[in-house]
Amino acid sequence: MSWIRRREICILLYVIPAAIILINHFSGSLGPVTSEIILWASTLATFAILLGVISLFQHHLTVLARQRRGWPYSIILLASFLTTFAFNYIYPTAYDFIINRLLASLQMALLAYVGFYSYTLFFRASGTKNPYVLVLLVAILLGLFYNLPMRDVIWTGWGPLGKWVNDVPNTGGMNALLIGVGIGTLALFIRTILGYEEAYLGG
Amino acid sequence: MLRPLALPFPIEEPTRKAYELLEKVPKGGVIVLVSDEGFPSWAELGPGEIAVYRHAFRKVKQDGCKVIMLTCYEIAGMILGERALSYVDLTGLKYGEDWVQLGFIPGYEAVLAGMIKDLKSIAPVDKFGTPTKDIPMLKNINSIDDYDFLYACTYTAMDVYIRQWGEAALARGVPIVINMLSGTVPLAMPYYRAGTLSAYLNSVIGGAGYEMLIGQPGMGVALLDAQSTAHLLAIGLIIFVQGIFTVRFMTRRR
Repeated sequence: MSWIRRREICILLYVIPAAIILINHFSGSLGPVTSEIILWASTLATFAILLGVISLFQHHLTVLARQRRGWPYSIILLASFLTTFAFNYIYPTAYDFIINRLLASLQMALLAYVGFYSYTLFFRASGTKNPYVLVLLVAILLGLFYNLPMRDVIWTGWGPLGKWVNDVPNTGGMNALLIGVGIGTLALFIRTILGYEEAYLGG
Repeated sequence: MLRPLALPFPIEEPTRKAYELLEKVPKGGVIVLVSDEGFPSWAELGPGEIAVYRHAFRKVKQDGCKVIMLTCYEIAGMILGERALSYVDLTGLKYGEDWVQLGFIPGYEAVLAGMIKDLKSIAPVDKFGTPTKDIPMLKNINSIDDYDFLYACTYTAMDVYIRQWGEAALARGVPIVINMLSGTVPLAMPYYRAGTLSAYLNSVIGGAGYEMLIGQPGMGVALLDAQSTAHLLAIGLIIFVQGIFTVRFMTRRR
């Protein structure tokens, strides 16, 4: 069965569906097959979640068995996972409480912490004599004023000025960036179908 | 919270456009609502999400439109979409005939690509396990040819939606509206200027504007005072620190 692990087989598994989708995109002649492949992608994503859960358990059970650094956190993680999973089927009210009250609040609090981090950054890192950083600070100020809900109370010009920055320099820069990304994606695709790209094969 | 400032705020042009596009959905039209936000983004995206849901279901009541809800990024999106739905008055509406919840379908870009080609193939059952082929509302709805309005709420890169929907939607004249974080608006600008992205809601300010347009001020308008003061603090800190730094620098040079 060693042939199944051959590099060519893995590349073919990528190239054949990609070619079918590409041909259908330009000709429209392989519609049903393309739909089936896209459905497979969704099904595979479901299995990927299962694979993720298995890997999670493998990793944390190993941490516990070998009592590696931070092993008590593994107990908390596995207990949280199993409790949430079980509640979803046996006691949905508790599951809703965990998701809506605990998880949602904790994740929001975590993001709020990033806010405080940003303000510390504004206070500690704003002072500069580097002209490039000064340009960046001016751009930040413009962005902040443009997104300030009460901007018109301070000066009615912030709206048109911010809109111009958004529409002209920003759009130009972003267009260039997107074209670069597009060309890069195309190059990556060609490298992959020709077998030069091996990162996705674990190479 | 203790004393609301109730300062005026501008309703941005993309917000107004988003409202007008949903308002223009014809009688019996199909509105697709994709909720791909996460819990951390709820404070920013929630106001817009709730306002769009309220408007969409108002269209269901007034013009007999149909709503399809789904999530494809992470399960939190489905939970938050349903949270937005809890703000909507569903009296008189029937599940399966007026609206349908397809739930969380893993696969993200594959799902976005699939839903415009063959919805029933990527969603064989709805959130409650009912086969989609047996849902009366979906009898004649299966691809972008049947949709009239595409909406997504995302807290990650918005270009994913344009990549998968843009070409087909533009060819058929189906508007795409995205509710996104302020940080991703610059990325959206090329698509907006090119017309691939029809309109967008810029975080809280977009959500608050939409609330005003539908005549139901809520969480967005309430959050604007907090956003104003937070922005002013940031502006103040930058100017203050740079001012002190410049004065010190000049004094040392002398």
